[in-house]
Amino acid sequence: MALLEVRAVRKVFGGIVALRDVDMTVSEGEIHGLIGPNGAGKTTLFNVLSGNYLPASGQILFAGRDLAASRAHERVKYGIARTFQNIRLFKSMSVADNIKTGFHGMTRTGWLTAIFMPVRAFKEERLVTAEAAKLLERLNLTWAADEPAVNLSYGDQRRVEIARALAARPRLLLLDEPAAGLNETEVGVLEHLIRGIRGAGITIVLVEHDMRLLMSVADRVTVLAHGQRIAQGIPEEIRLNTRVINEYLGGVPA
Amino acid sequence: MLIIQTLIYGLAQGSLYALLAAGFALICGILKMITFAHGEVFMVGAFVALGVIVGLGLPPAVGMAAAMAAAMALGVFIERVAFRPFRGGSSMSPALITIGFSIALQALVLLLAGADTKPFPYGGGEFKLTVGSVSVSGIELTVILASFILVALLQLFIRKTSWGLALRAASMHFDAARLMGVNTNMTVALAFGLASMLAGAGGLLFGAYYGAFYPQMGVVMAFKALAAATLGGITSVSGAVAGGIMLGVIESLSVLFISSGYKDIIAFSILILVLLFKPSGLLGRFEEEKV
Repeated sequence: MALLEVRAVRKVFGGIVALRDVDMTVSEGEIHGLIGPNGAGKTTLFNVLSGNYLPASGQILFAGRDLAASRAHERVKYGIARTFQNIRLFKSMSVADNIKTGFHGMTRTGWLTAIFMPVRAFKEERLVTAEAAKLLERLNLTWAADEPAVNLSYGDQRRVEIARALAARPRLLLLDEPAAGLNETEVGVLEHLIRGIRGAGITIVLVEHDMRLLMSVADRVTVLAHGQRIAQGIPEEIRLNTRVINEYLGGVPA
Repeated sequence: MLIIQTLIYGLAQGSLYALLAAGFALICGILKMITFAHGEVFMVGAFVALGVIVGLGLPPAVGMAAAMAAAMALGVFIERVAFRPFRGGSSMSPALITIGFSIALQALVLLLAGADTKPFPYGGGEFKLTVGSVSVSGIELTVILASFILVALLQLFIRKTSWGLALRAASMHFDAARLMGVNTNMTVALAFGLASMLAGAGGLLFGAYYGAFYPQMGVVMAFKALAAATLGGITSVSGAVAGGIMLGVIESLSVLFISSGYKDIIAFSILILVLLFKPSGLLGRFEEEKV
């Protein structure tokens, strides 16, 4: 069953067409790779999916729901969470607090209630703190809970970003170049983490330039170039697709 | 002992600045914009309290609650009308609309309540805490304690609740917070709500302290509080509060050692010097945006 259906999505910046009627179908439970040369529109597509940009035309269906009218924070509530190509943690906040922001969409107390009935807010806060601690433990980041996020290594910061996205209990996780800047060991840890997340039943769309990682974890791959989808299929097909080789893989089959 | 007495005056005046300055820090922290109607939120809060206390004959504590509630509603309304429609756009439109609010609210209160300065029915002169030659009046004590408690509650809210966390997150990285599921429109409204509650409370405390309620009572206070917030560091609530206290104390010391005529000149000269040498304020710091 398709969890996410992108239908003829177009995004224009000034006169430049960043996404040219892109289609993409992501099935429930799969790891879906999204590749293409720089400027192909991968991050733009993520921004459209997460509600950061509004598309000029086209449709996005998520679990049967049309997302056209929903705002960014609502999409998180419906089950779409993401990470960023350039890490965007709340740097001077502790790692635990960073993760707690991911839970914010789940909390039910409105701010008026929080001001006038602080006891309820404190109670909910305790619950969120406990959930964040569990998540940190699962990612072996408990030791870093009280550290300001900025003090962590690059690889650990990436994992905190993933943990923050997981805090929203997503059905679909959008990972934007999670391996960028990581060393080989860290990539290994990341690969294990990605498989673990999928094992927990979360569907993943993965943008990644590390072809070894992507081809090994992805069930299916969509290829974008110049804002257009030029191929979609299982990794083996993509690797042999001449158009993809010419546009992106550069004639060296990975 | 005169110096201690002077410090107490400065502390009382500084607490009033601090209540407004904290609000500027909350709003500027999340939106990187300034409201010019904050002094009028302060003034409206004061008049609502006066109406409740004098008009309805209810106790001052009820007046305080009413001031805070009315100011909060007004602040959230101003955000909705003057800021939200321009999110992500020019900061000129909100600035101009809040100037409009400032003028209109003064005129409205002038029409409704009249131009005469209204006294506060509780003198506060009966109670005096005297230690040696230093004496603190009941109203001074009330102003200082009430401000201290309100700022402490604000800090508790910011540090210990999930909405406080949302506020900190959105102040650090507005878009990232939004994409992580934080309802940023609600969070901005919250910032205005909290800032305005403090302003409303400050309005009543000011009116009670000086025994004077008048439509322009917020004008100079708001400008000085904005200066104080900048002095301490407008990017952080604690910096702004510290700035408010400092400005109050500097003013009262310059009255003592130089002359009351010079107090504004001295206070603002210090402000200019601080901004020249440490643009983020004494306690503030600017975060770098890009990785």
